[in-house]
Amino acid sequence: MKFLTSKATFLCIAIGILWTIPPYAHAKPIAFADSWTFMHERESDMLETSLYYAPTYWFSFGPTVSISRSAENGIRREANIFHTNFLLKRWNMHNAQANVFATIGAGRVKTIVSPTSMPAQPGQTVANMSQPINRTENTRHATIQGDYETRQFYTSVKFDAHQASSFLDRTDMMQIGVSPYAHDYEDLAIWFVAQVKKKRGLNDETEGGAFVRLFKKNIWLEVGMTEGRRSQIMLMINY
Amino acid sequence: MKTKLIIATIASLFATSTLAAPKTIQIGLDGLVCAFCAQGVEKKMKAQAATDKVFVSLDKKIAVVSLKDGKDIPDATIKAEITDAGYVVKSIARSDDAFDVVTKKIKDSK
Repeated sequence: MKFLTSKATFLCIAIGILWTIPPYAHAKPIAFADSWTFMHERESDMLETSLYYAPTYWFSFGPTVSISRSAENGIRREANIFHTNFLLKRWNMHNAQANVFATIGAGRVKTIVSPTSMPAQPGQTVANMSQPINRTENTRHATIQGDYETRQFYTSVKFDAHQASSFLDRTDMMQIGVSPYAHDYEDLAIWFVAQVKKKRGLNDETEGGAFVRLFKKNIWLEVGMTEGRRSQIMLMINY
Repeated sequence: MKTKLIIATIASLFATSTLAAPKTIQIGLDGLVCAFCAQGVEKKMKAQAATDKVFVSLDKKIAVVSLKDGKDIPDATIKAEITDAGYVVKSIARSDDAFDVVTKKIKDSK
């Protein structure tokens, strides 16, 4: 941080970036032993809130409420899932740490199909065409993710699958982040992160994005934007 | 009589120095890269009955524990707690230096 006058300067730059390129995230599902983690994530086609408790450093559990939708075909999913998160393996190195996490969840999902997006079916009348089609069913969710980080470099990959009898939504993601200075515990950590995300199912697209991560003590905030100029934001609080 | 007094004095001084409890423990750690890591270590060590204060430096990969008067934490407990926090103990050193002195040295050595 010697090349800048102060960390406040960097904060100003970060805030400036937030204004010029609106905002995503990918955080660890287990912070530390005997901790609570609140996560809220918002994208243009997704909203998700989780609350996890970790009795140990390798396991956490808790509920997640999410809403996702397809901009193209008018399908919206509302899911309530109970998640269990496992740290399968951690490598503690002198200047780095690497982890492999797995998440398994189960719950209920309601899929709502907008009538305007559906082609008329045989026998369907104008009256019943105006009704949205709702379907509620059991759902399963599984994620595996790996990360490697030092105090100035971060990379992660994540494979996510959300399944029910009527659909399979998948998201694969990779992130690379750099920090302009090696932060300490008391410092504000600033990261610039690039991301590529491939979605299949509800939305079929591959999209890049960039965001800024601000991290101090128990608060983690990420804001950024995809190449389609869709904003993304994530807030995580641990205590 | 004089000889006995000298021996007793030396013996008592020696006994005092060996029995004096340390003021701080410095724990060298691997895997400390972010604030979550520091929080996990800090929380585990603060939960110890003998702990007064805890300082964690990501830069030096070290946790400094200030001990309550006359108290200590066995090495085996430290290793167990740090392992339970998800990290690896590389070294444990005790010191008679005050907590503020030790943490100032660490901060100044950046």
